[in-house]
Amino acid sequence: MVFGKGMAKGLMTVLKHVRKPVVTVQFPEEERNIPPRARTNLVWFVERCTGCSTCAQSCPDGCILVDTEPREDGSFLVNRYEIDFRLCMYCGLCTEACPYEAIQVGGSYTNVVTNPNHLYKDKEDLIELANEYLDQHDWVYPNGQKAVQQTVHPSERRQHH
Amino acid sequence: MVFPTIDTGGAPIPLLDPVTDVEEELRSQLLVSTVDKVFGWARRSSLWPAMFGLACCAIEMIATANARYDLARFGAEVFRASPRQADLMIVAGTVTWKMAPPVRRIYLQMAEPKWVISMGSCSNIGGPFAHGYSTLPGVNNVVPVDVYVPGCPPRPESLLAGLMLLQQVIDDEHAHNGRKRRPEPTGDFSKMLPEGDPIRAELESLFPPFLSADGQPRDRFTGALPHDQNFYSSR
Repeated sequence: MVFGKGMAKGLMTVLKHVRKPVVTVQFPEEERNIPPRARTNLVWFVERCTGCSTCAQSCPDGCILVDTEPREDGSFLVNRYEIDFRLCMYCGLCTEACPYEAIQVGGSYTNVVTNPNHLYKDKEDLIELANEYLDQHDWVYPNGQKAVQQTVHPSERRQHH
Repeated sequence: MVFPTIDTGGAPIPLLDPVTDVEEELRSQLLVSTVDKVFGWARRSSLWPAMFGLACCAIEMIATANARYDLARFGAEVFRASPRQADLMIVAGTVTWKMAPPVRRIYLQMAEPKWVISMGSCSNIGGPFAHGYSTLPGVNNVVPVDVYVPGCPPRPESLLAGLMLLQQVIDDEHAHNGRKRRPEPTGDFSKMLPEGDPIRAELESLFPPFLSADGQPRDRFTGALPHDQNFYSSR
């Protein structure tokens, strides 16, 4: 038995860790890289959507609402597209189901609220969120494709007073 | 079922408003609002959560407390095992009806000032079990919630963002006229639980006017029944 053996051991452990890089991520200032298909918020791009509502049918929670009406040429006009983010469990099944990748994962994950009803996003909210995403990411969709700037028709954008 | 708004228990609890309740001459000499700001700073910088996890969100909560995300940077590192020492309840996970009375009781046992973060879709509105028979559709039916964190489960960053929003909320409420009385949740179980359901009876006894099923008054802070005087003499 040598006196202070344990203390030396402990000090060695501390000294070893002094040389290692810091693991703590200083969150608000510094963010970790999120993998491209991580379960973050959904982003819906109106210019890619055809209104087929495959996403709504694949949603296990039933938190997506799609309301369409046929146009003259047979395509669909999306009247309402709403996602209830209170219910959404971010499983990403809608993004797998969507044939046109109009709904994708990769949005913000810090949308905390004091009123839960603000988590219900209607079409205008979702278009605003998608535009925000594209503005921040140099007009590249989460799947890596390049977006054509100003694809959203001005009438689809929310009118600011 | 209609609940009375505030249970005064005979004596009303006075709330001093430094703007209206003080004489005009004294107002310029008072430091109440400044002291209150310091209180707010102290309270938001040392939010101690209750050690309380219900489902998978608790795993993310533990990850948030670990070294990589380090909840200690916000002064919220000490997860207290006793609700008496906690300021913050993070409802992390699915709240089943069976678990609802304990959640309410833990909330009642926490000392003022106290705050509640609802973490994850399940405690926000029921999540994937929202239409189920066994799950509470939103923990705000049982306790008043300050901040809702969406996600299933939320990333640790989301919980940190929720904590920062709560710190803002605390700052704001201390900057304007001090702390308000915490609102009671709208615990209307009449549509969700049938009459005579034991869990409904237990939950109702934990809301004002804090009467147990046989009409005995409960302690309004702990939900405990009064000590029976004949208990020891009859043995």
